[in-house]
Amino acid sequence: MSITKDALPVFPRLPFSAKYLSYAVLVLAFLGFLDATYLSILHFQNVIPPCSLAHGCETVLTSKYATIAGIPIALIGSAFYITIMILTVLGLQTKNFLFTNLLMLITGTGLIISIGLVYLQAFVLHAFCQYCLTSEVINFLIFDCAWWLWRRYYKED
Amino acid sequence: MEEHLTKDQRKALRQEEWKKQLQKEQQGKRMSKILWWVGGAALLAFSVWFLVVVVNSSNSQSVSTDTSIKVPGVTSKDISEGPTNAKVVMVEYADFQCPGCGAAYPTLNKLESEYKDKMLFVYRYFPLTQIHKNAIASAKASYAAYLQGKFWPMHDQLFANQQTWAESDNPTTYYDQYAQALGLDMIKYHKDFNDPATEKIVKDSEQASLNLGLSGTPTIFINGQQVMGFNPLNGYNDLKKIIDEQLKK
Repeated sequence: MSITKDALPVFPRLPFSAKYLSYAVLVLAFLGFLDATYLSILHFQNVIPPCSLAHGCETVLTSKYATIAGIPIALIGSAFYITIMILTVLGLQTKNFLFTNLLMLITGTGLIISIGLVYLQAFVLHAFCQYCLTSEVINFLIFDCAWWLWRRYYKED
Repeated sequence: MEEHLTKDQRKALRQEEWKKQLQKEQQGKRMSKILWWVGGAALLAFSVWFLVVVVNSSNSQSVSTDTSIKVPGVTSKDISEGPTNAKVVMVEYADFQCPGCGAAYPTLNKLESEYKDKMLFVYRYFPLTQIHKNAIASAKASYAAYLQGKFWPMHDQLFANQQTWAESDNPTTYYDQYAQALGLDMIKYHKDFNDPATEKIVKDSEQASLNLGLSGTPTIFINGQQVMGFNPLNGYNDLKKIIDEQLKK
């Protein structure tokens, strides 16, 4: 039994326990949820801010890329963060590797979409929205945590 | 009391206690699991409610006026509508590509038509070139229309169709359509659109706005007072109140 373990490549020592990594994901996802939900509420209340040279939020939020088939991306973001929270709590409670796998999958997808959204802001709209950038940074951090979590479970198996 | 029990009885008693403890622990675990879900759902519901309250309160902030920026007086070079000797002068610094200006346009149009005999309405170009790639082109299209006396219809067309041309890489095809629909002389329109003098007027206006210290659009002045905290979508009553106050003076 120890032979197979020894045969595995040696991973560096993981800095945090699975429990704390899960808590980190939960806190990040909650912050992301606040951010995305705030933008969703703005969208549905039809608040159109004045245009300011200091920031480009209105340009980004009122662009055609802010919605997909009438659904604001912010709302999809809220659902995304709720899904992450549910998967993380399920993972904590059941210790089932399936949920960590799913978490890895969904946060990876989130990261790719985030990179796409940053690209749109930088090269298509030429305007950045600080709320969107916050969400994109959060997605990057959540992905990191999920990756460490996945590695941890992988090692413990 | 335990001393009177036989060894087997004591064993059974201890086992029962263990069982009870195990059950208690399992129940505690189940409770904590349920608490996670209930607590989490409550926290999320509370935060949604809190955010709605925050958005609503920032939405209903009161409008005020500020005179720290000295807006230049109206000259014959200004694009305006209404009686030149009007008691109330409303100056709007706007960008045709700004969604906020697009949202404010129906409100301002309504006020213009209601006060057309008592108010002079002035439109000044403040293209936000850093964030809106078609800001200059749209202003040029409106100026070319202005030279044929059709600024306001073109202004309406540009705002009404803002979503169509805003992110277009070739917005002039749309502007040409609007110009044609307004019955403009297209040869003169194209000549004026491409005239460097037209671009200079727009860019000079941009520079003048920046020099004035304006930071965005729409910026509205009523008789030299800057309207602060104006909501583009439902600012009708706020603006009307200020106009009425000025008319009474």
